[in-house]
Amino acid sequence: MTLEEVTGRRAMHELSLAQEVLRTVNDSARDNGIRRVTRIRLVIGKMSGVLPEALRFSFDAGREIVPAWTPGLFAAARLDIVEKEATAKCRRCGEAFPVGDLLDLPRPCPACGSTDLSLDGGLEMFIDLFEGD
Amino acid sequence: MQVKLVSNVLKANDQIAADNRRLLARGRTLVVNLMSSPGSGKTTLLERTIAELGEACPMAVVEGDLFTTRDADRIERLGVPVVQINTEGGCHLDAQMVRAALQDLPWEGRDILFIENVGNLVCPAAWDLGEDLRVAMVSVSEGDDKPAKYPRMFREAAAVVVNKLDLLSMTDFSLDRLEEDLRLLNPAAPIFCLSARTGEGLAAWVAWLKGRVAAKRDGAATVGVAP
Repeated sequence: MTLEEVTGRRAMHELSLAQEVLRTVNDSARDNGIRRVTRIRLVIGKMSGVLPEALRFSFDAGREIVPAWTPGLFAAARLDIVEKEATAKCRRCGEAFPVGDLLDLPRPCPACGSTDLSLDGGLEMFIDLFEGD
Repeated sequence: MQVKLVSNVLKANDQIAADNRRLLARGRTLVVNLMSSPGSGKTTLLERTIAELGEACPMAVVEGDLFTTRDADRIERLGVPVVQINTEGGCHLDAQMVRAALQDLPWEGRDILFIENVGNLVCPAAWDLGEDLRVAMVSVSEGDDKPAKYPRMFREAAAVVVNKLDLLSMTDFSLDRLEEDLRLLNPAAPIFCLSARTGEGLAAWVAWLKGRVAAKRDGAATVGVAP
């Protein structure tokens, strides 16, 4: 049974993301002989379009449902979400600086005055690590 | 025990997308993932593009919507093979849905496969479908702040279409502001300002598409910005 069938909705893409997280960690836990996952750390950029609270909800809904290689694998798993700030980078001098959102971007570059800037960080969406025994 | 993964959350999707890309590469068909808000005019742009390119450039279309086959019906009326994907609430297409659609669609030997994504500027950007290039569209009535508000969508676009140019005088839309924001994210993507309804500005878009088709046919390594 899929998470979508259980929750009866697919409208949040965090549901499919949570499912992927659980599936990926399950496969790695099996390969490493881990029977109980205690912590999973995700890195989510603030401009990735992912809502941490929706992801957390989806993770809790999914952990009992997504097939695990051994029963109770995710029963005690804590989800840590590290949010990464958006950063911009100057294409001319390489200066990197944080931005609240793109509309707040300082223009021109605070270091060299160039207006040739690019969004650098904030789009991350990856599983950093997990712990278990 | 700590296991360092540093694994993309969407690895499974990306693997299927890579399979799609390999499958589609056999036919030298240019695959375009068309993305915008609901109501920007994606289907109208496809209708116009089909009419302009005609039989000289055979196409196939995958339509993505939550519900109904209305968009596919419109494309079918033009005699172009089309498959409708209904996501039944899902906010984006994923590579698995496209893989299934390709089995029912006679895309081989066609010059362009258009994938019209679910109307949404957020989620579709994260899912690779196996396309050659992405086109992001915004209509003038939506406002010129869309690239700034939805950076990922516009950052990965090989081209940006500004639609509903015929309504420009009735809005406060500024092309300069849009371009200023867009260049922060995407320094090179061409911007095509057009009206899919009246046909104004369509020639440049069609010429660009023909160029991409030719590049794909000649086996160019890259035809656009890879996601």
